[in-house]
Amino acid sequence: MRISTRMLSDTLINNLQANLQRLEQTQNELSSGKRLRKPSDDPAAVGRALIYRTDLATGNQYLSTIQSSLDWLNANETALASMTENLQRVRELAVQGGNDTLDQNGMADIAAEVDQLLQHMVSLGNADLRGQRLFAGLKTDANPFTLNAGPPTTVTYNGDAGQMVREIDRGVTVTINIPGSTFLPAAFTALTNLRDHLRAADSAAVRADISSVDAALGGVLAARGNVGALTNRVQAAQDRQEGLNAEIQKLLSNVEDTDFTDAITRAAAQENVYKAALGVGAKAIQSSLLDYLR
Amino acid sequence: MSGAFFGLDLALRALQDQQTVIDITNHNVANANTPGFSRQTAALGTTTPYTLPGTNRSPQPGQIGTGVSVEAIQRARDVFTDLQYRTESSTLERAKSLQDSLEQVEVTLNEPSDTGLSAQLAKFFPAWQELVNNPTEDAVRATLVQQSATLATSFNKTSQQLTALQKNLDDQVGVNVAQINSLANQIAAINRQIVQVEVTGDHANDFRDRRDLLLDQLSELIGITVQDNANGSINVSIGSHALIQNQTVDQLTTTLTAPGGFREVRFASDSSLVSLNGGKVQGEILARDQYIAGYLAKLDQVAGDLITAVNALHTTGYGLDGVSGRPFFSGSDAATMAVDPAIAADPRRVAAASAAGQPANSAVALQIAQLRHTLSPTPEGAYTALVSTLGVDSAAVRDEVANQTGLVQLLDRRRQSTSGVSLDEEAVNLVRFQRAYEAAARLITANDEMLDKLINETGRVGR
Repeated sequence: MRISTRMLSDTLINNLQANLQRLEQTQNELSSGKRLRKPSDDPAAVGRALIYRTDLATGNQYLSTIQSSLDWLNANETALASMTENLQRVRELAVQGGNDTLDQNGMADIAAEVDQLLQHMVSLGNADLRGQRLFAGLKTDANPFTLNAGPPTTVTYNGDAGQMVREIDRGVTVTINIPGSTFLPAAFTALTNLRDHLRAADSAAVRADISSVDAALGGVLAARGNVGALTNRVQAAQDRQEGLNAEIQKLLSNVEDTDFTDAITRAAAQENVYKAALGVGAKAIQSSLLDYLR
Repeated sequence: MSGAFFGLDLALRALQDQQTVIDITNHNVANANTPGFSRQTAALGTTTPYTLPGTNRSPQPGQIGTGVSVEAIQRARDVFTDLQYRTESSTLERAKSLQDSLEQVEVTLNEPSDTGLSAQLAKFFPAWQELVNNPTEDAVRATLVQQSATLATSFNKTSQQLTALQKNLDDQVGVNVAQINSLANQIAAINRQIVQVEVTGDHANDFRDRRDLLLDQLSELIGITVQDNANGSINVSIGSHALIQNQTVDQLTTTLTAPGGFREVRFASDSSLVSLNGGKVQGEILARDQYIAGYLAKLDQVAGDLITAVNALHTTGYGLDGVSGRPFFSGSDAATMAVDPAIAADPRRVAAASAAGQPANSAVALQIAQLRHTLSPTPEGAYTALVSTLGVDSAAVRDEVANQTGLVQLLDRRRQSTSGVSLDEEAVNLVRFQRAYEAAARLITANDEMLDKLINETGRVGR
């Protein structure tokens, strides 16, 4: 092939340009730490990266839901634990009050304490987390239980049977609340009866009340059991989700982060080629026959 | 025997012709870097030999040569490579212009990033989940409305930018059509000059170079076919329709597809649509009408599906004020999407509940949050598919540009190989022709001395 003078410089410019483009791409990978700048860099990888990012955002949201569910369940557990203690004390008092050796004053003292415990039980039934009543169903903005002094003493329920449903994993929902109407009225009735029987110094009736206090205790313990089981399930979901997120993070990094060893090696090789092209090209375009004619 | 002055005449012609050849070398060197220049060579030939007359036969053994003449000045040009070059360069320019547009779309979408639409979509559903968890908290509601407004703005902006890109391409089509007309007029004018020169039998080398350069430029803008005429002029067609016939041009013009629509390229004479085959203009129209229009349609689909699905659920729900039936989004596509003004004015109106009077009820919010995986296709999936399509399109065009650039460079090298000036070659020629010139001058001296002998020193016997 006949080589004209311009071909040399044209070829040099084209090749230098191509070298620089490759070098620029590699240096950008190195300085940004990202392998993917735009969709055409690697369309399949960009598609995967976007899906992983979405999965990660979803996973983080599940973790956030799980955390707020756990906060709620812990508040439930705390309130139910207090109720248990409360009812256990009531049971002790009932056993004491059912003893025939007590005189009327002694019975009245116990009745006063049971009355306190009844009021405490109602306030526990109105317990809240950041203003949201735990046992009000979905009407969480107002106290679900109201104590009417009477006589006769009654406790009314103003909440509803609504369920709080949370999604803790894709398509997995849990109900995290127990409406107070399902287990607390039995306790209130048992306490009211016990107090009234103590006031009346009817020790036989007081002894009979022990079984209804036991039943009320059983109801609270069953609720605690439910909350505990649910907490375990939600915690298991948390562990799983945390593991999954770490895994997705790793996959995402594999797809979009620069492989530094590879990129540095490439950059060095490309720089060498570029320098060699510069050196050879600079000499080739300078010389001509005219340098040697006298 | 030849005449006494025969040698003097011959040497003079040799001197003149070597000088002409040196002039050609000058011209080549001067234009070594002129775009489109083809190096020129002199076709040297011997002049008609002379048979000396005699009574019986020539008194000499044969014909005697009468010297040299420059028969033609020719340009070194490979016409077949020109044809290939223009076809491939049309394809390259189409691909390049497409690549430019698609790269701009990639910049517009800005994926993958923490700020693109994909990231906004990824934050949209978690904001609903957060509302599921805390339906009574005003801050959570405000965050949801804010996040939704940001998402809507992202859709609006992306749509606007893609539309602006289409408009920009449309303007470029107009500019390039004007450029095509200007080039066509110049070619027709040069056609006239070439015919005028070549009717006398000369070669219009430099005019032809200039015309070839204009044809190169024209073929970058639009795919053409060129046909030579016997008188030296050319005809240029686009598809099967003539653009230039000898010295007349059928100008191109643009009409709008609809009021406010995009430009279409037509011939002025019969308003027929120009059939595009390669060239920048085709790349611009393809990007405008197929690629970007396709992305916009998909973007509208994603936005429209999301608006419809969210609103269908939201209208069944109740806000904290107990009112039902409100839409969450207004608008119907990417360009018009916005958070409904009533919702934006008071986030307590977001209808999270499935019944009135239950502040902790977030059943509808949960259904909306679950759209992330119950919608088919999912909004994020559909948008990712759009990004992937763009990536594949852009990568394919990038590869085509790379391949086609290689091919065009190769063809250009082939043209250069034939037509390009080699300074080394010209230097050698210069030495060669200079020596010949010097020798011709010496011939004149020799003849002069011979004549001097004959005229001044002959016939002086006995003086």
